[in-house]
Amino acid sequence: MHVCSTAWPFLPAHAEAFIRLRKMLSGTQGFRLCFLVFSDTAYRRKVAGFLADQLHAHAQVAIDETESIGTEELFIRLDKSPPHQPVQLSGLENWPEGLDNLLARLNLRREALGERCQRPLLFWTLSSHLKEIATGAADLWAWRSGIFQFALPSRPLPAQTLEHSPIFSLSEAEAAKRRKRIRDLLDYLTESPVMLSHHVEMLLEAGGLWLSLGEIHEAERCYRRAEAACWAIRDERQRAKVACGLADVLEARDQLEDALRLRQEQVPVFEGLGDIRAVAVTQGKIADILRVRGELADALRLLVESVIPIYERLGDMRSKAIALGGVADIHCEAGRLEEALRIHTEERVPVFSRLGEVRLLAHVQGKMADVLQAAGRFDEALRIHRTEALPAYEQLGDSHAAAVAWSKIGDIQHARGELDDALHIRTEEQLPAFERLGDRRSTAVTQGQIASIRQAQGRLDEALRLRLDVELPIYEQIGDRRAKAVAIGELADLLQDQGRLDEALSRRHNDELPLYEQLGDVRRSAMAQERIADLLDQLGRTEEAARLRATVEFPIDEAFRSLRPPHGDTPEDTPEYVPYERDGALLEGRLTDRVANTYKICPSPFTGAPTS
Amino acid sequence: MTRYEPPKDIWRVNSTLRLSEPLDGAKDPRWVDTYSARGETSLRNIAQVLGVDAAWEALQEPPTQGYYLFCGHRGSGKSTELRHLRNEFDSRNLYSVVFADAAVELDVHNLRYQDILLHLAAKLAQRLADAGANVDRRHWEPLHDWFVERVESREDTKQFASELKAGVEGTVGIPLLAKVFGNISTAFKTNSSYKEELRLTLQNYFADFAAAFNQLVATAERELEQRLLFVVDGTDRLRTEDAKALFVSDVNQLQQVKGLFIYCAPVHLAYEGEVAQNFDMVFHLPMIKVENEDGSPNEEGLSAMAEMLLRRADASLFDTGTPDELARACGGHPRDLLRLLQYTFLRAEEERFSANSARLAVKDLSSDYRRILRPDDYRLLAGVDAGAAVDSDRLFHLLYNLTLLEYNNYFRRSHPVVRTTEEYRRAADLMAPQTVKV
Repeated sequence: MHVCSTAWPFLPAHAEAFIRLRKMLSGTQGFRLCFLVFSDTAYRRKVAGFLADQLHAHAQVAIDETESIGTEELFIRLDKSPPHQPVQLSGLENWPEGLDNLLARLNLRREALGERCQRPLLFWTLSSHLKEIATGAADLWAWRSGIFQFALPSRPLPAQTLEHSPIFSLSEAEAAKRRKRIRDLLDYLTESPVMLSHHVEMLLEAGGLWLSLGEIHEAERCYRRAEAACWAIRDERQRAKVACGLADVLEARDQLEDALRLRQEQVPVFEGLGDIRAVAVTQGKIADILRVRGELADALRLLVESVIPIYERLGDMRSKAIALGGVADIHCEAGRLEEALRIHTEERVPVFSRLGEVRLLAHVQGKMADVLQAAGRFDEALRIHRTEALPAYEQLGDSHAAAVAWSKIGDIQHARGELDDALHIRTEEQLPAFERLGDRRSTAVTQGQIASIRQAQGRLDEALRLRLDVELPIYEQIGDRRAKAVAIGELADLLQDQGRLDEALSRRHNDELPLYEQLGDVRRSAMAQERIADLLDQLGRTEEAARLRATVEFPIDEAFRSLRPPHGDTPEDTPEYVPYERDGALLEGRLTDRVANTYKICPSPFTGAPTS
Repeated sequence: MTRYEPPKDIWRVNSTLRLSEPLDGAKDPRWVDTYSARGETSLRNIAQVLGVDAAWEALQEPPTQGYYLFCGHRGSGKSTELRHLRNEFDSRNLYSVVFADAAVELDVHNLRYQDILLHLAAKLAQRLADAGANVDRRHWEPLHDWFVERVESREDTKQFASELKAGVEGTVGIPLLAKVFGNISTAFKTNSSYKEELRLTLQNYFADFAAAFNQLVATAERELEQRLLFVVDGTDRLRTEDAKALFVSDVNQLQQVKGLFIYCAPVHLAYEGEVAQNFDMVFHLPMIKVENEDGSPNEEGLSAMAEMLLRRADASLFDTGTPDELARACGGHPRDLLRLLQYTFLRAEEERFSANSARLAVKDLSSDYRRILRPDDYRLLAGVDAGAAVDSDRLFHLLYNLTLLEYNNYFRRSHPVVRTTEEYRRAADLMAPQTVKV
């Protein structure tokens, strides 16, 4: 019998799967098919590394989306490991011709696979793909010797995650300074009887400042005034700049389609005017939207083939390094973590160091930690958060960014199952910091994170109390409908865990779903309806559930097509956190919080420089 | 010869379990005769149609030609049973069986009738060569001439022909045919660039080929002094469109070669009238009946399943009653029985297959099935079990994914492990005897 020399270092819930797998492989020779289920790529990598060490499963074949290979080549690669040692196969979801195609091929060539791969095959698959395998490759599936669960719990982290919000990084003095500047600008314009070209510039500046303070409505009013003025003075350049400002407003409201269209319309205008910097800035923002919509290849192409070459031509190394952040983010989202890390370390850090951009440098380090975390290199990620990013933010006096860094440390500990340590950070570092800053939203998010830990610890009543009495009222007070809807979903999960199915159903049906419908969030609405259908099933109301599913199936597919993360499992299994960066502005945000995101620094759309 | 003994420790049981390998019929000591246990629906029906007498000792007016389909659910034992048939017919000198496993020997990803017939021609020639048959030139020459005229002499396949003949210099007659057609088969499997051209050649000059093949068949039967039976396993794995092409649109070509042929076919095709009409008979291999239509246990089936287990693990390794529990839980599905044994091993906390580990294994297998069932499927399954008139296309999916099992006389039952789920129980509670339409 094979003896494992090291204790299982990951989630305790997966120790049993590991022990069963080890047992299965013990003394086994020849082909044997084991499905290893995962939901998180970073965690999968870490487990795969452990399996390599402990079970001699050193051979790892990863399907790469950029490399078109056939099954024959795949079999050759699977056959390269030493005889009888297990081989790990991953990246099915990256098969260039699609998962269906791969499954059909493997199904038909099952015998060839078994013949060529004379060793146990550890077949890594996303949990959401198991059903497809069972039906799309039923003959292959029939040969399974076991299914081993290494999927993270459906909600390892709270649905609400924190983001660095520059508005809270503004000192009171700076915020007051900006408000005074806005007042001065608007007063001047009030006194001016006629709108001139430079008045439009002033309105644009005021709009940008309002946005930096999180005042979207006020920002829009400025841009609308500027828009009207542009028609009067017939200034094409100014009109394009105003359109970009309005696109910022739309984007802040999560109206991505409209924002994208508006930005795309401005590109030929700027090109016609010969303003290549504005072209680069606008295309950079288009790439941001494409990335948010999951159109990673298009976003990457735009950055690499258009935006970055323009900055190079302009000799603007700072803007180039910022744009490269977008490229790194795309690689990270596409699972090309090494490349993302390389860009950060080799192409961004040296530039910001040379330029003395301490804040940007700290931000890049935070990004590097995120990539390392995604790669399952938790220790390194923690080290960077603790010894690089956190001290840098503290040195800069940016308490908000520091609190967010603490929250990320807590996230990692939570994901690792180190619940006590995570709780300590949430309650002792994170929560007091956000309370001191008056960041009520982040305070509520932190309370939700604490509730999640309590839930994981089995202290359901305490979790319920935090959700009901602390978190939800704050969202109610600040009018954050999206955050409220997410929190209600969490609450319903909690009730469901307690077996209070009727209450859970009521929360989902009467509170959560209407909120998403009001927000026009198709994806979340569909997910909520799926959950309602599950609850109906559990309550034995199967006909209602089936009817509901029949209506919801299409929108889910449609919505997920654009928003599903490339390596995520079911959307609720995937942390929503999507780091992103925009020219000149250091932002980290969640896809779903675009509407509620009232505190972005919005750079001037024309210069690429932040107004802060 | 050493007497076979099943492993006496559970680790050895696990390491020798192979869900991917069919048994070589009764030649394998783990093989169990399931004829009665399947409800007397098995190879004996095929034998009867082929003119084999009840004692399997002689042929009684076998048909001159016949084309049969052999269907059964995935993992029901089709491949094992076909191998058993081959071994028995061969060893009893009833038929000389030319056996091909398309899934292994051919490219099922892209399989056409030409591939199968060329492969069978190669196999037949090899059979004659192995037998050292002294075949008169005029009997093998037509097939050779076909190759020379249609492949070797044509500009576009001349190069291919010379590749096929590489290394066979000095070989003549039947051995040459065996080598050349064998090489064609290999080239097809490895997707030679000439594959399509050769298929087209065969298609365009098929009548010549079929006539030459028929002559070889007749010669072989004369030389071997036995009737030939061609058995093609693995064609049940074809994609629906490929299977339809083979068994529907190209069936006339398949049947221009005169002889007795058994093809494995996807089980869903057997339900399609068009396919059934094209073949002389469709044989179904049902699951082993572990319970009767009225739900009472079928002792014969249970006993056969338990026997299968005990040929893979010594009886001393089981808690009392555990083999029967596993036999019941698998629903008479041989591969699931082995899977349950494997899952029981994984759950075993001591060095034996305890009742508790078997219970956990059943739960694990039910989880596998729960992954593929839709919520409304439970209602359908409960409806079938309750004897309601269930009218849904979805039933075929349930048969396909093995959550619904079919027994002889076409009675169906949900898989026993599915019946252990909460979802099923709830659906069954709600089930009133009525027509279920979905």
